[in-house]
Amino acid sequence: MRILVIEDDADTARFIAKGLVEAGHTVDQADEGRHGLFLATTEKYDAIVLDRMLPNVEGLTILRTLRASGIATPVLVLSALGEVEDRVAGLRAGSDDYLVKPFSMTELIARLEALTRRASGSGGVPETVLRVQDLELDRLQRTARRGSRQIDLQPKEFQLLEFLMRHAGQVVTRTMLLEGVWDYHFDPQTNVIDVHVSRLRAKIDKGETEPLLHTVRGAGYRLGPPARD
Amino acid sequence: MVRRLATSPFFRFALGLPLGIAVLLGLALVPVYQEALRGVERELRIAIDAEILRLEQQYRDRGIVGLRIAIRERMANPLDTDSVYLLANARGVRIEGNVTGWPEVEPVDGAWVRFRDERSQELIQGKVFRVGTFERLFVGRRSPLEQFRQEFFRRLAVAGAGVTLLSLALATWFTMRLRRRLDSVRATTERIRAGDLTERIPVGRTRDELDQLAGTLNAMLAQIESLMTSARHVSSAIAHDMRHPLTHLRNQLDDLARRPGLDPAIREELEVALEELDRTLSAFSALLRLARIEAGSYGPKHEPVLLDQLTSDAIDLYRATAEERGLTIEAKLAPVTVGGDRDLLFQAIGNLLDNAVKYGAGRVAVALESRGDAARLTIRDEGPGLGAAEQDRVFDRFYRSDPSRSTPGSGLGLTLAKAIIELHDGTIALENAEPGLRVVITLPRPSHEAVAR
Repeated sequence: MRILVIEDDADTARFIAKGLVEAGHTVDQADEGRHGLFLATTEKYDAIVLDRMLPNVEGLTILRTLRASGIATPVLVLSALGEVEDRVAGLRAGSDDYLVKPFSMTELIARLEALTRRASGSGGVPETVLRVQDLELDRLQRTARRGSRQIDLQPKEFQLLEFLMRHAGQVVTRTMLLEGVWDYHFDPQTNVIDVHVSRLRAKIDKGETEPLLHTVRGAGYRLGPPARD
Repeated sequence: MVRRLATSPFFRFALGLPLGIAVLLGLALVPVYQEALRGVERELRIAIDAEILRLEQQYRDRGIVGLRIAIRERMANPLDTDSVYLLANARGVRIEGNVTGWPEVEPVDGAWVRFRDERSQELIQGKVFRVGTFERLFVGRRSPLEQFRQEFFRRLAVAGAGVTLLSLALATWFTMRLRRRLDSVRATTERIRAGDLTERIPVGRTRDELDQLAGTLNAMLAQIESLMTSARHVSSAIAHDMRHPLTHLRNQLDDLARRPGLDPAIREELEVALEELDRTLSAFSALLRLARIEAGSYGPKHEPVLLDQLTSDAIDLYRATAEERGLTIEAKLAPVTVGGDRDLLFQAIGNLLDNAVKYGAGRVAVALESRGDAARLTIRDEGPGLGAAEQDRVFDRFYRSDPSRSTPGSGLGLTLAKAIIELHDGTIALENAEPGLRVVITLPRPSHEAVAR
């Protein structure tokens, strides 16, 4: 992916760039709003990371201008302001996702990848059947199958699997799951999500030769073929 | 109330002082009284002795006749109404005199006698002396002392009763007044103890000892309030300041862990360290959010929230964890809408469910109903419950029921829940459910609830 990072704090910018490059993406940097806007309108990016607190011009103003110019590139807003009202402001200005500082690199990458996947896939009609390896999920029938084995899922488990399959191959953080499956922005102090995922894993992977639902330590989960180290 | 009054030191003092003074005065007057009595008696005897001498002289000069004349002359004296004379024969029959008969006393010569007049019941005292062979003469006075004494004691009794009643009344009034002032102090401190640190004890205008005490207490309260605020600020400041270096640290560890070709054992350890760090960062975020909510600088959204739906979602989220621990969650939710911030309320209810599941056993019962202009949510677990002392402290920051702190969680869950509920103008209370604990939450419903549900 080609990613534009508009961030004025040198340390943060370097850190983000390094992480993204290591994940295999190319990164352009701008440390000031107008330059960032210029780059965004003149170059083609798969995603933009935009800091809200920029010198001279507020990040959201840049965003609004960008959208007004017809640039539909997915934008992930970074901000130290984390309350819901701030997120809503970001969303209204045209952002696609919102991440609060300090954040983990893995989460940033996971969300960026989710954004681009969403962007690229939203051109057509969403598929009714999702497939990962021999795991199949029928959204219309609300059924799931692995190979020839029917998997019996409760409604929330179905939604959870659906979300994971839509983000197959990507790292999905717990926060993303809470937002995407339960539709709440919420910080659990305990591992309440993990229990749901373990149950799902038991239903999907039990007795199978190839586990599909993996825990990524320090980040979240990933649905897909086992990673080759 | 009367019994309580008697135990009050103020009352005892207020009553004891005047009574004590009265008693002391009384005691001081006793020798005076006795001295007065003795003086009067002395005077009496002197007068009577003198009279007897004079009458004796009469008898010697003019015999019994002269004596009788003398007695009659004295009795006729209008100025002297108190003198008593009695000249009687051997059988006690009156020859001359102004009393009826010889009193029931022995006519011993020179004896000083006292007796009561049959008619007037007055006390008479005087001296006896023999006249001639058989006659005897009694010269005496109606005792003023008797009247004096009676009158004295009567007045003393009246005064005593008056003093006692007045003292009782004054003591009661004084004690009640004092109590009212102390009660106002006590009520204020109770409110402060309940959490309102901005309260101050009312100070009067008199600048007496109680007002000075109130002033000193208020200064102390201001100090406590400032300490508590700064303590809160310290924990928030620490969280805020530490977040960035910790995040950098985390990111560096993250980098390290994802380095290709790293020894898997080392990667394992790094990932464990990362999880620990994430937990700490999560606690810091919670702490900062808590500080913002409590400081009121947080402006929550005020939108209609379908509380039954929200509660159901939260239960759904925690049901898996509950079942892992062998618990069931039962829900009875009536459709209720409240005004507020959906995510915050989910956080609050989620935290409370988290607690119920963490410390409960058997069954967790959740009930939501509409009560007048408020929604009432109860979460009841059947765990060990909380003692009264713990109930007070459980909403404190970082309070953990488990002293070894080995259960997951930061100790901020309930604090955050309480702050969120109070931000929504709701209330949260704990009750012993026996067994277990019941958490009762009320949230106001928007008054203009036009949604027909």
